[in-house]
Amino acid sequence: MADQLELPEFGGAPEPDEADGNHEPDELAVPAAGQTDPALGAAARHALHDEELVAAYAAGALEAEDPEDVARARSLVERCSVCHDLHADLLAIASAHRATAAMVLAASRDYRLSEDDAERLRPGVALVRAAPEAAAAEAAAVQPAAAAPAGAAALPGDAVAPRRPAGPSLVERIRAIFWPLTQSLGGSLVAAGLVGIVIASASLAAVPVGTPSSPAFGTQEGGNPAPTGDVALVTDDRSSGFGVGPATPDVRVVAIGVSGGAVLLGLVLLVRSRRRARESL
Amino acid sequence: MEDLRATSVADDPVQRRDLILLERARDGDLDAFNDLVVVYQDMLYALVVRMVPDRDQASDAVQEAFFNAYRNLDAFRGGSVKSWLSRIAINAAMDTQRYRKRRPADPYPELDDEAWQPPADASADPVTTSLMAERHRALNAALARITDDQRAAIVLYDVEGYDYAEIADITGVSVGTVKSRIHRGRLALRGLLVDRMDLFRG
Repeated sequence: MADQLELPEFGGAPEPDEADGNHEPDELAVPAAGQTDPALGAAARHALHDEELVAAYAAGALEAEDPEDVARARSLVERCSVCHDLHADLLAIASAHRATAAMVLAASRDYRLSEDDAERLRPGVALVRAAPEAAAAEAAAVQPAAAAPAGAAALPGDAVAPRRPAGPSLVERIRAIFWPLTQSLGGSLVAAGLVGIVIASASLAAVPVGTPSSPAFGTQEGGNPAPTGDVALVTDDRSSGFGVGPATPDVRVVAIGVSGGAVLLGLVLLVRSRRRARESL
Repeated sequence: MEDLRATSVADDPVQRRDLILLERARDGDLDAFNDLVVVYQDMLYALVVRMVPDRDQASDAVQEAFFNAYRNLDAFRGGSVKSWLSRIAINAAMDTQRYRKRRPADPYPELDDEAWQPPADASADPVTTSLMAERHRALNAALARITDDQRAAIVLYDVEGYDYAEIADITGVSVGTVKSRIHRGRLALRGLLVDRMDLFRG
């Protein structure tokens, strides 16, 4: 791009020097038919110029950077008419844009917050509000109806009703927040457990525990099992070709056990959440 | 609660009023917050519309900005309330732009409305006012057709007066990227306005 520093002044559109054949690269870009058209010639020369450099120069973004870039940009603006116009236009656009910054536009709605908005948006209100509501529902469900027998109905409520703190306790709040999750957690556990049982059972049915091709063993020629590296899984009776049984349980058996546990736990959670839901009605 | 007025460096009556309103809003006075909303809603809407030329989306972004401001009243650490609100509005506008990127939508609608108004002090000269309005319309139409990133960078630089580093901070990109977006954006604007440049020259 050093050639860009050697550009002729754009005031007099340069013609290619046909006599000595000493063409600059920019001049070579001038089409033969346009040799007499200064505007076309300038446009053709401009095709190789870095417009982004000119834009950066117009924005004043080059001063702190490479002085060579500044010199190149200045040279382009001073010597190329198209770059010069570009530079002037960019300055005009930026200036007009800044001038229109003062233009105002009436808001299309009224953005004032309502009391409901404010209540909803108050910091932490979602958590704090959800917890007492849920806890209150819980308390209403848990408080035994029998605590206020017919005969006590005439008495002041606080004389007979079990004393409760004015607001829900911290434990109640936490339980209230997480309780709604138990139903979905229970369902997930049951589903995951059942899937685990099915997969492990299928695997066991296909390859029973202790068979030579069981994943716990590799096989040697002749069908003898070879340890795969997990010594704990290798039995003392390797010479017989079949293990008496693994020293630790087969992973599939463990999977069935764990899955069964998950199903049980999930069922318990589901039953409790359903009971709680009924109570809160 | 910290005294916000003590943190203000300027003794500008407007800033003082804003800080008093903000302090009262922090203490739970919704009317004080709504007074701030009334003062700044037009300004913030104009800012966001420049970044998000779709009026409905811009309106939603401004609403979200005020919600965020109310939600984060305690996060204000002094200084200019106007700048604080502007930053929140810019973030809301950027979120809208990100949302548009994830879900490519139709191009922005072409708007040729007269809703934009010149500042009151410029209304004395009808010729200037008319020229400014015409330039503004042309610029807005062109701005709506460049990329979101370029438009945001140009608006923040030219209209809001942020410097490159601040824009990099707001938009989460490098200073070099900000510069590139501004330069390319201006080149794109010039390309779109090339037939109307007589409006801007002279």
